[in-house]
Formats: sequence, structure tokens, C-alpha cells
Amino acid sequence: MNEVALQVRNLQVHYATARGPVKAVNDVSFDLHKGEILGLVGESGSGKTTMGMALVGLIRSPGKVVSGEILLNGRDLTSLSVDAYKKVRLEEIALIPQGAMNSLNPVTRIREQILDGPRDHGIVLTKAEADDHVASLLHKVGLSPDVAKMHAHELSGGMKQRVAMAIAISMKPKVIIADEPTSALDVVVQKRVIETLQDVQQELGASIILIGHDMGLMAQTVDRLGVMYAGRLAEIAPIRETLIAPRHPYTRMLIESLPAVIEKKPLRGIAGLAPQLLNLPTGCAFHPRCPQCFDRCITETPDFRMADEGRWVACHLSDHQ
Amino acid sequence: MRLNYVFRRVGFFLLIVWVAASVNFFLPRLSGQDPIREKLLRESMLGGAMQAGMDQIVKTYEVKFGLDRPLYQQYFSYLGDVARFDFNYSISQYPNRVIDMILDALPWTAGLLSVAFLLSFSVGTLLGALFGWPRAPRYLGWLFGPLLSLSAIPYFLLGLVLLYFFAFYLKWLPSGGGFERGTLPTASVKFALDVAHHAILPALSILLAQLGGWALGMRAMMVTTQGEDYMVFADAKGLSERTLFLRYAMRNAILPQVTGLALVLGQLISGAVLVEIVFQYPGVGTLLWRAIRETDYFVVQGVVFFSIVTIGLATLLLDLIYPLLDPRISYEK
Amino acid sequence: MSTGPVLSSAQRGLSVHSESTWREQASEVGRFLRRNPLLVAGLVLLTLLFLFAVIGSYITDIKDAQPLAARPLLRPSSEYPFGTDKLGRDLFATIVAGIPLTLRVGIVAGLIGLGIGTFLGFVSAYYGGWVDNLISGIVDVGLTVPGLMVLIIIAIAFSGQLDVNDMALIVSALAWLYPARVIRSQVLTLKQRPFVEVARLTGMGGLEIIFLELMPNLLPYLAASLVAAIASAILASIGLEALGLGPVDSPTLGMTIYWALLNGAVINRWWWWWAPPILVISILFNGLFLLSMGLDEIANPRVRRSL
Repeated sequence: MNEVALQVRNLQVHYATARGPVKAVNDVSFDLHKGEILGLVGESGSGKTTMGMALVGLIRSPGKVVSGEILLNGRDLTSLSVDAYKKVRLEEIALIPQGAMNSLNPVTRIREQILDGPRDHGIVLTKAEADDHVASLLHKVGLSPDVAKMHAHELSGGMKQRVAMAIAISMKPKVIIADEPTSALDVVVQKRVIETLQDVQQELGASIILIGHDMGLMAQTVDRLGVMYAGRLAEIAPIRETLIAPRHPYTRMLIESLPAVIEKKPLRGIAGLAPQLLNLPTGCAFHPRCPQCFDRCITETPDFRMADEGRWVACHLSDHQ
Repeated sequence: MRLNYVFRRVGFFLLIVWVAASVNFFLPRLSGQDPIREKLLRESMLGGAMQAGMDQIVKTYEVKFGLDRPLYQQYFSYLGDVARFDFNYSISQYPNRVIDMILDALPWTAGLLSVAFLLSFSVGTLLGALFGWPRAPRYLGWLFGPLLSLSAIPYFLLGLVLLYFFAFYLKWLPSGGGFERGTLPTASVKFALDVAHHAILPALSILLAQLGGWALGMRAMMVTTQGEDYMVFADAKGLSERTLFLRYAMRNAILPQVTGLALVLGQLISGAVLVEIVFQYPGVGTLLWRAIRETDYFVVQGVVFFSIVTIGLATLLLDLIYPLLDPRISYEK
Repeated sequence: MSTGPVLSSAQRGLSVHSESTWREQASEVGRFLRRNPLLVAGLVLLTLLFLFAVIGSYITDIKDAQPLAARPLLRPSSEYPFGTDKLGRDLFATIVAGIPLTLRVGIVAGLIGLGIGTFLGFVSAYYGGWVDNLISGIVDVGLTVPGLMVLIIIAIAFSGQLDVNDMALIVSALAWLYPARVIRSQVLTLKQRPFVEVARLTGMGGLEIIFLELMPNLLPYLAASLVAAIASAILASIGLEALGLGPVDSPTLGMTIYWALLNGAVINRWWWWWAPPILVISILFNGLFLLSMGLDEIANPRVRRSL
């Protein structure tokens, strides 16, 4: 678990708007360890989806990766040309998109959509080999081989999501970015999709970044959890330690907002709204909503620092200085 | 494809045929009188060699559409005639039958129109798709404006300009007609080439005038398509530019383009008819022009009926083809 | 304690709301005008034509647009800038007279078409049921049938007796079809939107909803449809006139082309006869086209970005 699959260093992704640049990802750094599932959780606008898109190189105008590095297999992805990045996608790093409801081509068959990625990457297969490959991929995600002949509109939401997963693993990438793979699904299907994801990960030995906003889901699935707020990482730590003793007030409030099943307690939310990225508060972006805010929080933005072995936090409370 | 769907479409086509016939019957009588009878009576009073035939026509007309018959009976007579493809005789070109005159002219129009249309649709759609694709060569963009400008003006006016320029000023191409005047049509290669030679300008007028329209529509569709989620995921798969353009963007964007085609079929025929007139091309258009000149009502009615029915048929074909292109459709309705 | 003030403030509240909706739309249009080069280009072209016609009417005598006003077949000169035709018409006067006539046909037919089309489109979408089926059915058939053919049959019954206003009426018979379809689909989309439900819940009546809530949102589509209706009306009228089925005594642009064609102006190299009307028609249609593209961008901003 100590080897690193992906490294992100000081990534800045900005969107140009009429009123100035929006820093959707603002100086984010973390490592993705080999074989782990890293969760990335946050509210809408926290930057988590932008982060996922940046990793697969899909940031399009008016967005731009302004600075920073994404290191995969010793290469900095941010320096790649458009064609070179195309080669890296699917083969080394794959995306399971948010909302696979509309992520599949409506007019072509599933089989074609599973095969065209590898084909454009130079893999040549005979018809029999192709059929086998498609059937085995569908089997891996728990779908019948008949799905190959179908069109997207014939599939349910959960099935579409699993097809997307099958496509993502078709070239056995080492890194998979799963962007809210269960958001539009009901709980039962969610469970099945996540189980499929875990099975797939075990078999491939891939490292997964699971992006989402559902703390409960994260708690059950991930090995380590990163919490994003207003474009920055607030905290990152192994899941157990995060749940037991969160270091950042935001993380703690996220955990406390989960409804308790065993002992009854009143539902708690987090007061206030997520900040507008064009109009960030001074100092720590969370300070207006933080119950433990003190003077330093209003004036000084906290650095993302190592608080313990394997734990990083951006909060003045954690500074023992 | 569900049989239900097919039946409804065929039903619509039959409705169109009925409307075509009814339009021909009722609209001329809008002024309160029957202009056809007026015309026939006038003609029969002129005398001459055609006298015997004209008398016969007038008598038959009076029997079917005389003032003494109630309107609805006249209507059913007319519908019956149409159903038997009896469009009567040409008043000015007696004893030619209208149906024969139309059938003679039809192949010319059909040939011209289908060639010009197929070319303009395919080239226009492809160009439009490229115009809407951000990673297409930049110099193509310069074509867009001029093409649109050309497509704004009526086809036949463009034809006029081209005719003057290429046939009279530059003298590169023939000045009209379907083939060299004075020659007889033969089934030879030489004749075929002559026909093609004469078809260039009319076809070009139709082609250039339509090109911009298709391009504009396709470009808009491509722009919309590129915003779709499946384009993002396709890109995430690392697909080649070519696959993204052809199999994902164009394949989807072309669907509304085909739907849009159904809407402009009427315009296509109307435009083509007028173009033929400019070039005196021996198709349905020139037939119509002469008929209007000579107030030859039966010919006009015949041409109008045929064009409406042809459009109806084309619409029907399109409707039947569309579900083959879009797998989502055959499972609804 | 009268309920008077309470009621009137509630009414005022409603009218403030509707006023701001209209005012919002007006200022938005103003802003878009500035940011929208296509729209401006279209307006410029149309204004140029308009000015040409206006100034032209002061320079020349409209009566010269009739036959026997001058010696026939004169080439363009300083006295006759566009020359004369075979029947002795001063072609400059003809064009100057023809522009407003052709425009009149287009605008009248376009307005009538838009009016009827909008009304029927609304009714069809708002009330649904058999009314919708009937109107949509008629629209579908009407749009499938080639319009020019139907117009020919109508016009031929009256041949020789038409004037410009009759032309406008005849053309408007078909001009309402497309607006009806467009407006219907837009209203159908809007009908689903929450703000209509809210309006209904606050007790606004059907007509109020139509005028205060739905109309402001339809304005861009109405404007685009009007321009399209005017353009297709002019196109239809030119087609009819070029066939000789138009108002024979009026020097409209289409009729001028008809006379040119009939007298073999192309074969005889009398280019000054047919070139100016074609040029004017091109400018007219390009202007209308740019205008409608500009309006389209307002209605659907996404189309803008790629050019």
C-alpha cells in the first residue's frame, strides 16, 4: 500500500469568467496509493468534479489547468499534447462518468461502444476475440452478454452505469476515476454498483478515486478519504481515523450530519451555504460557517500540512504552533 | 418497426393525396365562378381545326361539372377522375393528354432534382458538420459566410445570374434546354453526355442555393451535440478525432437534420420548378410555365397534383427510413 | 379597516412583477443588440434598402415605373441610372417603386401569418386535447404540401385581377403554418415550467398567465418567427410574380423579373433589366437572413459560440 500510483502536486484549475478567474481547484496536492480506493467528498462547487476531469485531461475552455503537476508512471500529464493524452486515457487512466444516464451513445450498440476505445488505441481483434472480450467484460460487471447487442435506451440506470464501468476497465487501467457513479441511482442499485466497483478493483489491482457527496457511501467504501471545500483540500486521512477523530471542523460536521441508526439524535446540518468561488471569504474559506473559528482563521488561509502519520489537514486548530 | 407506425404514415400520405385533389377542385372556384368553364367556352368559340375535339371536351365537362349539378356530385366526379389518373386533355395543346405531358416531363425533373439534391445534402451536411467542429481546419470557416449568402436568395434568381454569366458572358455552358436543340433523343453515350452538359447549370443553381441551408442546420446540430454527456465520455475513452467526429457527433447530429429535410421538401420542388423555367429545361417546371401562360387549367391542375403527391410520397419514405437511423424511435409510438 | 389598501397593494405587487418582467426583457434586448453583430448587420442592410427607396422616391417620379414613360431598351446612363425596359419603363423608378410594394406584401402577410399562427399555436398548446390534434393535423398537412403550388392554383383563378394587397392576403393563407408550429412547441415547453404552476396557484387567470408570464419568454421566438414569416412571404410572392401570377399593373420586384424573363432579357443581353432587381432581392433576403440569425442567437445562445 505504500507504492504510489498517481501524484498530484499544487494543481490549479481556473475558469475564466467575465468577472475574473474562478479557482475551481486551488493548490491541491495528494498521492493516490497503489491498490487503494481514495474517496473525494465535498459539496457542489467544492471542486471535486473539476479535479476528476483534470486528472483525465478533460478540462475544456473556458477552464484551464493553470499550473501544477499530475504525475502518472513518471510522466507529468499536464504537459502532454492532445493526441498523447488521448493515448493515456482508457489505457492508463479511465473515467467512470457522472450520470451514465446520458453518457452512452444513443445510436450505436453497446458492443460497438465497448470495442471502439481499445480499437482506437491500436488493439486489433478478430471478431471472435472481440466477442469474447465484450462478453467477459460484461460478465465482470455482472451483466448478461446479451447486453452487447442492445442500445443505451433499452438499459436501466444501474445497467448503464455498469456498462460505463465495463468500458472503463476494458484496457485494464491502473487508475480509475469514478465520478459520482451512484448519484442518480436508488439505494439498492447503488449497493450493487459499488460492490461491482470493489470486485473490479480487486481483480485489476487498480487504484480508484471515488468522487461523491455522500458521506455514508464513502464511509463504507473507501480506504482513505479526502475532503474538499471551496477548491481546496481540507483534510485527507485513512477512513477509520477520519470517522473516529476528524481533524477539520468541516469533516466533523459532515460526519455528524449523517443520520444515526442506533441511537436517536436530532438531524444536524451544516449552517450556511457553500461560498461563491468568485467571492471567497478572507482567510480560511470555511470560517463563516465554522463553530470553532478564531481570529487567525479570518485573516490567514491555513496551509495543507501533515498533522500526523498519513494525515494532512488545512486548519489552524491543528497547528500546534 | 411497428405496423401501427407504418399505417399512420401511409394514412397521412393518403390524406395528402386527398388534399391535393381537393385543392385542385375547390380553390379555382374561390372566386365564385368556375374559371375552367369560362375558359373552355371561350376556347370553343375560337373555332379552327381543333373545334371538333374542343366541343367534345366542353360537352364532357358540362356533364360532369355543369351548373345544373350540385357541388358535391361534381366533387365526387372529380375525385373519381383523379383516382383513374384522368387529368383530362390539355386545352392549348389538344389533343395531348395532360397525364402524358406530365409523364414526358417527369424524368427530366426527377433526374435534375435528385442529383442536385443528393449532392447538396451530402456536401452541405458534411461541410456544416466541419463548420461546427472546433478542431476542423480553420480555412473552412471562410466558406460559411458566402455559402449562407448564396442560400438566402431564391434558387431561380441565382440560376438567372449563373445563366447569364456562364452561358452568355463566358459562353462556357449551354444556354438552356435539356439537350442540343434540333437533335433527337437517343440512347447513346453522346446523348447522355449532352444531357449532362445541359444539366450542369440548372443543377448548379439548385446545389449552390441549398448548400448553405444544409450547412447551417448541420452546424447548429453539431454544436448542440457536442454539449452532450456522451461526447464527454467518448473523449474520456481516448477515442480518435475521426471516431469522435463521425461515429459520435455526426451520427447523432444528422438525425434532426433528416427531420428538417422533411420540412423543406416543398420548398425544394417549388424552387426546382422555377429554376427549370429560367433554363427552359424540359421538365415539369417549363410545362407549368407554358400552361400558366396559356391558362391551360388542366395542365396546371395536373402538375400541381403531381407535385403535391410526390412530396407526400417523399415525406412518407423519409418517415419510414427515419426509425432505421434512430434506434430509439421504433420502440415508441 | 378597509380591505381597499390591502387589495390594491397586492394588485400593485402583481403589476410591479409584470412590469419588471417587460422591462427586464427590454433592457436585455438592448444589451444583446450591442453584443450581436449579425443582428446589427441585418438591420444595416435592411435600413440601406429602406433609405434607397425613400431617397429614390424623392429623386425620381414613380409614374415613370409604368410603360411608355421613356424610350425603350436604353442602357444605363446619367438620365436613366438603371436604363429602361422593352415597354419603356424607367427601371430606376421601377425598382424604387417596387421595393416598398414587395416589402408591403411581405410585412402584411408576415404579420397576419404571425398573428394567426401565434394565436392558434397558443390555443393548441395550452388547451390540448382534440383542439390540439385538429390544429396540429392541419399544420402538418399544410407544411407538407408545397406552398407555391397551392398559391398557384389560387392565383390562377384570379389571374389578371390581382393587386398588391390581394397578393399579401393570398400569401398569408400559408404564412401562419410555420409560426403556429414553432409557437406551439415553445408554449408546450414553457407550460411544464414551474413558474406557470406558481402563477396558477397565486390565482392568475388563463389570459393573465398568457400575457404576463408566457409572452415575455416567447418574445425572442415571436421576433424570429416574424422575420422568417416575412422572408418566406416575400419569397412566395416573388415566385408567384415571376410566373406571371402577380399584380400585373404593379412594378413589384417579382413582376419586373417576370417581364424580363418573358421578353428574353437574358438572351438579348439586356442585363440592366434583370440585374438590379436580383441585386435588391439578394440584399433584402440577406438582410432578413442575418436578422433572423441574430434573433436565433438570442433565443438559443449556444449556437453563438462556435463561429
